[in-house]
Amino acid sequence: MTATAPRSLRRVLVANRGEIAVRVVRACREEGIEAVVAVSDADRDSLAARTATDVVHIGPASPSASYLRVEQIVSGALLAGCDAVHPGYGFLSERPELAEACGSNGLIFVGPTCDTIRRGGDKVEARRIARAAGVPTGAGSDAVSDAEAATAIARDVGFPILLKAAAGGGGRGMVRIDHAGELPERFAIASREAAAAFGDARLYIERYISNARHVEVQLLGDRYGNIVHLGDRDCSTQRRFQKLIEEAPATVVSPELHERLADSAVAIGRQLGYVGAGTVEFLVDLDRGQLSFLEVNTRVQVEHPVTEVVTGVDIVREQLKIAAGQPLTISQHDVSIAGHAIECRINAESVGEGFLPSPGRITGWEPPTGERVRVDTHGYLGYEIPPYYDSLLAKLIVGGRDRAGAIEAMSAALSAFRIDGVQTTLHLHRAVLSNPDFRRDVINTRWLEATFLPQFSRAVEEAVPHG
Amino acid sequence: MSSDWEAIRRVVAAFDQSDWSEIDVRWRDVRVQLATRADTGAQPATPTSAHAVPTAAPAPAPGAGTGHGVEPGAASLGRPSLPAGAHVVASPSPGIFWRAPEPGAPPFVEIGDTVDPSMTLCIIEVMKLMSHLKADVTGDVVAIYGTDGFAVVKGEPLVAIVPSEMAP
Repeated sequence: MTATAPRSLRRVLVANRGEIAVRVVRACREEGIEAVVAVSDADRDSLAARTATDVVHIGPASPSASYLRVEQIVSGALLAGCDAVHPGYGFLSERPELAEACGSNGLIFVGPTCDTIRRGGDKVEARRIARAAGVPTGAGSDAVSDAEAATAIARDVGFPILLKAAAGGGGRGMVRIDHAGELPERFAIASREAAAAFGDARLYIERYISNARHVEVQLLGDRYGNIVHLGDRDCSTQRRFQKLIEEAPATVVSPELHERLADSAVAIGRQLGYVGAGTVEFLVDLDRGQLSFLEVNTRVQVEHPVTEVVTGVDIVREQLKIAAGQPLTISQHDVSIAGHAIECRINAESVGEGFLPSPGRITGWEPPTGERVRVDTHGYLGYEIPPYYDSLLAKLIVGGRDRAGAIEAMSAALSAFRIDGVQTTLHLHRAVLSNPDFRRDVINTRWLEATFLPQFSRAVEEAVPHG
Repeated sequence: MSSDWEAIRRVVAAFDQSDWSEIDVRWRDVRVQLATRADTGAQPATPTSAHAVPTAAPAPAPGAGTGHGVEPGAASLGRPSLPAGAHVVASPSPGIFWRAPEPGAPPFVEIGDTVDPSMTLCIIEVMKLMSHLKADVTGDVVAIYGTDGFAVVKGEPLVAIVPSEMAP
């Protein structure tokens, strides 16, 4: 039924670093594709560089001089003889400019079209698309022009509200506002920050739902109009809108709501003509039992492995096949969810110092092993974690027959994981996994910050001898 | 190798057809560096201020963080000798030193500026976390050691201030 014969990619530029670069290199190897990793000055020694077929050097350590420069990525891909570019997550992955520049230089972009990235990335436009697909977006607004208009809308919606950057996403460019009094000043700051961070000062308003779960649906779409979902994930264990623990499938959702989430995500995917791997994020209001659309992420996500564990589908390999023009190898009927998976993000941060990043040399490194234990990481013994990039050091992913089984297996794996030389969040994860609230699954998106962390800091303080 | 030349030709063609002002990529033993005429000779990405003094030598003795006293050997380390009692603001952690709130913006402070404790002197970026370093004291900036956009180590001196009460 396809007009062009499916083909394969030959040589892919991995335009990223850290654990996701290692992950993409592995997927390329498994697909029989050569992987060339783009490296900055600070990443010549990276695990991705060591495991890749080849490397191309794209500039100084600072991301704005290397990983964030479209022209460096595209010319690096051309120089190293690549036929495709995989952007990973973060950096340029959701910039339509990279997809566009790849297209105009004969390179295949491993991701959706630049039109999809543009429409999905504009959060105000994405809300419109969700509504057009019949998906509730929750109380809020389109782009608001000034603080006065924002105040009027906020009074209508009811405080607290979230002020969000139209070009933001992934928890960035977001501020919670509790009273009308603080709105004018916060609006001005948020607008300036959005302009500086994203080059787009537009803000919009969403009602803040205090008792909610963050649930998202994984999509895969090919060039022939086929879209399937791979079930959902719960990413409610967050700090400052950043996910720390992710699980698949979402457990507090009724069978009926699972279905509505999946149908909503697929409907939005169809509106966007989605090609590649993507995620539609929702909030599930626990008091009202309602879902509302949050945003679309037009890339592979950090937490994709939990879905891989419960579905058996390799999302990154699927991305490569889709980019090569192959039709999806699975239909919705083939997708089934088996068991439960948990991912803990192990960050190089000092929890006791307000999660201060902790770069430095790894002097001890013993990752756990086990039948259903997976560690996605760029760490190794002797690696010097540079100060230039984010603090994600490893993702520990564990599967179990059900949630309780996965928690037991994760606790065991966390105890066995030893990292010396830098501060990490390992002990925080150990404490979360043994916490009764977490085990009983009675948490929400605020739980970690509002309930768990205050207890945790007190316990740590009391454990430290005084004097 | 002819395939190398073919690859280089593709890069040059891409550059010609784009609005890019500069590229610099290296692969194996090939380096391709191209710039539009207006940019020729410009240094990429991390311009240094005309006022910047030579990059800091190794971090001074303990106490630099709280910033009292001038190392007697300062001049011999290639740094201007500072008036006694100059307050040295040092980096609280390893990171990247930024003199301005964003690329292209004017620096927070220049040598000769008068600052007070509420003012930001520079940003130290550690793994995407931006920490604004404050002046701690009221006084005049007499030296800026770090180079914009470059890595600094914990305790490395960044800015020296002569407190006002010490001024003649």
